Amino acid sequence: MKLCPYTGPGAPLRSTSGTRLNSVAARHPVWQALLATCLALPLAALADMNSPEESPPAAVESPPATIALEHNHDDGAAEEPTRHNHSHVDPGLNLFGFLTANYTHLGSATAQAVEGKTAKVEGALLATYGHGPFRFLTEAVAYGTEIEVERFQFGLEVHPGTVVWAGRVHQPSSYWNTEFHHGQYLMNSITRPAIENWEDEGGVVTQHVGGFLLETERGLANGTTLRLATSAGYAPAIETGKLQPFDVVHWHNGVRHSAFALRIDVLPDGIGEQAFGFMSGFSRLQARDSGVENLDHVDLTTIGLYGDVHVGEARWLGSVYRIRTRFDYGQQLVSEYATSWFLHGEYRVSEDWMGFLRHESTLGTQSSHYFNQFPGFVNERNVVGLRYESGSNHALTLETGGARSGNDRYAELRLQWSAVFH
Amino acid sequence: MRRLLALFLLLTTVSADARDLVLVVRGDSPVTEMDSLAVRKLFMGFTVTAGTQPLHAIRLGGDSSLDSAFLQSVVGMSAAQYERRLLRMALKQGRAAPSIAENAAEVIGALREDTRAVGCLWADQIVGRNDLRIVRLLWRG
Repeated sequence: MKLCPYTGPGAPLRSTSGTRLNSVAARHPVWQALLATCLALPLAALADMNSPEESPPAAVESPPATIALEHNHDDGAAEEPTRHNHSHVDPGLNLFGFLTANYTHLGSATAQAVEGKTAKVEGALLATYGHGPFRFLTEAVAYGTEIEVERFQFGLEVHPGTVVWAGRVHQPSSYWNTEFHHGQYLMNSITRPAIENWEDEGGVVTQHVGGFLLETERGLANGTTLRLATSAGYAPAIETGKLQPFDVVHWHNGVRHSAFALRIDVLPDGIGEQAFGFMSGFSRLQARDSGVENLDHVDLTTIGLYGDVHVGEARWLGSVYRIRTRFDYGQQLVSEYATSWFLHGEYRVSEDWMGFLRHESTLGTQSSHYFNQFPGFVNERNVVGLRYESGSNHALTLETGGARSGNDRYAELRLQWSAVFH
Repeated sequence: MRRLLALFLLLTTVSADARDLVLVVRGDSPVTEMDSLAVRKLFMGFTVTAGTQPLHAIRLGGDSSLDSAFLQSVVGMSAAQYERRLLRMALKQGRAAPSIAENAAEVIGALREDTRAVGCLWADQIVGRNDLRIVRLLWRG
């Protein structure tokens, strides 16, 4: 088995300057060298075992030109480079850095205590690597002295547009989180809806699982794109007022039960300026360390719909979830229901300025055993904000409004500088 | 008469400066035709295939007039919006953004190396090249 030296666009930096992403990656030689050393060798070895030369060549149709070309001389032969018909899209190594500085003032001492410091700086690093059909993606977030690996996943593109991932992944039954992930700069508001919060930010729904994720997309003849994402893996556990997701570093710690999630997207315009979809998830949350007597586990089931619509300079993004929690006390099962929804609107006033507003509400939490385990969960919030973007990688955002957590109503004022480097 | 002369000069000047932005592939590429939506999807990082093979987009980055025409006619958004869209695609699946070449020779070189590469160029930049083929007229200036 022989691996033919790859000279297609994937080795891109020889024939082109590479993607904007690649060209920037080249500006970080230390990162590149470290990550490339860690990733390239095993992936290259795997690629060798699965060399595309082994697969039959794609049929090349006789190509009728749709526009007549004027061929007034033939200089191709003299400069003809070696041609390889087996080349494939090769993303190579790409690095992105996200940086945010936040100032938060909440009109409630309790809420402020849950929120933590009024001033915070947070950094996130996203690294992706692709070689042939193999993919690697990791996303780490650092704040204070803590570093958390949010995503760490290896992927195999089994078919164009279809990737199977293994590792710690974002479960797909949240459109908001799979749209923005941890890239704060891309999320125009400072806060995300409480129902979409990450586990370590007081989130009440599974967002990270350790297991498998399948993502696939298909284009239909009418231009519509259909996407499907489904995951299966280890669910978080409830530990004293917090969901503790699967940890890639301490993966062997604690008992974890299973989690499954599914999202189906319909993109009528094919590219996602308009998107609608269905989401559903099930997680069995191990709860022996929750502090609730006799509670073994909680079955958390969500089912929801979302819509994301761009109309001119406006964007409307909304989701609604029906949530069922079933407590297993060994001898007794108790079920509860809640409904959560939000509607987020944005309007781009100019290339640099945009305004946004959001209403979010979660009903059925007041007497809920489940939601009451998570102090600080915001049942209701109304925010408005203004964002100024400088160039294509810096933004300054002001967000204000009112929130309610349990019976605690308070005002919020947030200021954030966010940036992306790549 | 002077007005007619001025109009004639204006028209001939526009005609002389007019450039066609075209979608180009290698002569033996399996890509025979692409509609505008497929082109837009390809340059926005979605998977677009010819048969079962994924296509790879190449942009010419060193030409501001081509870039303007590309943003206007192919992806239909501002440069900043386009950058954010590509960033979002990378964040989602680690997808490769279109390659950016510094000059037309690099685009042509990349196209000649790969049957599944699809590039955007001015039509006059590939005149006389029988190893490349125009698949679609994207914009007429």
